[in-house]
This record gives sequence, C-alpha cells and structure tokens, in this order.
Amino acid sequence: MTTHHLARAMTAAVLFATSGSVLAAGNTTVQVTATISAVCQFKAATMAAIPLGTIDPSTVSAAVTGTSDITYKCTTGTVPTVTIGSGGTTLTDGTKTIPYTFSLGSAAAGTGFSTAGSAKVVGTASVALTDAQDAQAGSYSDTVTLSINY
Amino acid sequence: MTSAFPCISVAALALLAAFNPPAHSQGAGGPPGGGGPPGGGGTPAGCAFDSTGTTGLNFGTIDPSAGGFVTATATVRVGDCPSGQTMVVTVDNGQRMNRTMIRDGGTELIAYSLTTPSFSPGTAAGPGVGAYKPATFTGTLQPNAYMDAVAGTYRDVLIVTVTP
Repeated sequence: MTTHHLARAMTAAVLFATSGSVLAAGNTTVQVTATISAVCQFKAATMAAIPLGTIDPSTVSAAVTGTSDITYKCTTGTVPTVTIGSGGTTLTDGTKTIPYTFSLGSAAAGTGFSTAGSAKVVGTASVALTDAQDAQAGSYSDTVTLSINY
Repeated sequence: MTSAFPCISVAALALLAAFNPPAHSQGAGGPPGGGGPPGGGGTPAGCAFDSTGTTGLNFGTIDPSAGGFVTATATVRVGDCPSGQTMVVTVDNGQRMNRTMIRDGGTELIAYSLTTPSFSPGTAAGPGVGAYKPATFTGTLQPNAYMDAVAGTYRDVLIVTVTP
C-alpha cells in the first residue's frame, strides 16, 4: 500500500519535470531573438522613361497618356509609400512648356529580397487634350524625383 | 507485479536528487584539497549554472536586404562542482523542437542553427565549488532564412543542460 502511493507520487513528479516549466539545477534557459527591419529600396536609381510618343496637334483627339512601372523591393508584407519629390507638372524643351500631370497608382506589398522579383507601383503621365492641341513644336521632357518610405 | 515498484522508487530518488541543488554543495566537502577529479568512486556531484552569467542569443536588428550570414553568440557560466569534473553542456532544440524563432503576434518562423557549446579557450574541467567558467555557443542565420521574412521580432527559448 505504501509502495503504491510512492509510485503515484513519482508519476506526478515525472510529468511535472517533462513540462519544462521548472528547471533542475543543471539547466538554464537562453533567450533567442532577432528583429527583422521593414526596409524598401528602388530597384534602380533611374526608372524607365514614360513615353508619350510623337503628338500631331492637328489630329490628336484625346489626352495623351503613358505609363511606366516603378519597381522596388521591400521586406515581405511591407507596403511602402512612394511620393513625388519634385517634377511632374511641366514638360519643357528648354524654353517652351506643356503642362501635364504625373500620378502614382497604389503600391504593392513587398515580397522580400531573396529573389530577383520585385514589387511595383505604376506611374502615369498625361497631357490634356487641349494642351496637346495647342503645343508648339519641340521635344519635351521632364524629370520626376520619387522617394520611397516605409 | 510487485517487482515494478522498486524500479520506480529508484527513479524517484534520482529525480529528487536532481531537483535538490544543495546536494552537490554538501558533497563538495568530500575532496576539498584537491584540484584533481573526485576520486571517491561515488556519484559525481552535479554542476550548475551561474544564474547571473547567462547572455541571450541575440541576432540583433537585421536588414533583410543585407543577404549575408548573421551570427550571434550566447554565453552561459557553468561550474560549482568538484574541481576537475568534466562538464558537458548541451542545448535543446527550442520551443518547437526544430530551432526556429516565431514572430511576435504571428506564426512565421525563422530557422537558425547552433554550434555545440564549448569552453574555448579553456577546458571542460570544472573550476571548483562556487566557481564558474563560461561556455559559449554560436547561432547562425542563413541568408534565405530571413531575406523574405516579415518585419517584426522573432523569439525562441533554449534549455541548456550541464551534466553531470
């Protein structure tokens, strides 16, 4: 009878030890930690130009629009905010100008850095119909500076 | 039938001994003069960790675009057993049994690997009762383990054991 009780007490003690909530004198715990930063970076310092083509003011019948992918990498799941720093309002040939608009679509979440793939936001440039119709002859361009924040 | 109980009770005594830290301190009265291993022929006294001497395995803040191997070193201080006692320090596989850290508030995992703890420089010989020496082990993150990880803090807990 006494032996039987001892056996029961023993079983309880073994379960307690296996739970890992109490450490014997010969044990200690070591915490393991790592913090992954949210980071984003453009894939290139200069993105592909947005082509607006050659416009014939006498025949153009709608706003002239072009798009380009602005590519970047971000920490997986991190959605960046891409903002326009400068430019995006006026095309110029050095002297003459054409007003235009530059806009950005919604930015995709990052997919990490282990592969060559990238996320993107679409940049759109648009010259209004009346501005295209009244433009003077010339070769016009603009530079838009973007920043990526996260 | 009855023979099963004596076996269990022997195990119970061994377990109680393991839970009783002062046991090895008293046993130290045995070979005080020595420097050599305990020659008594009995069960060697258990070694223990210095509760204030443990440092975590902290990989720090990692830029996932960096792409290199990331290493960190943890230190435990172990001893408090007869001088010369060979100490063997082992590390378990962590809370998920597979050496992974889990993201706070999430389910994503980052795998890591560990080296076997060592006393280098130095030997595994116990420094004596009441004295401790550091054992270190290094963790490594492979680039692919973290380059696509979701931002956040990841954690695991290792149990380090010294025998005897």
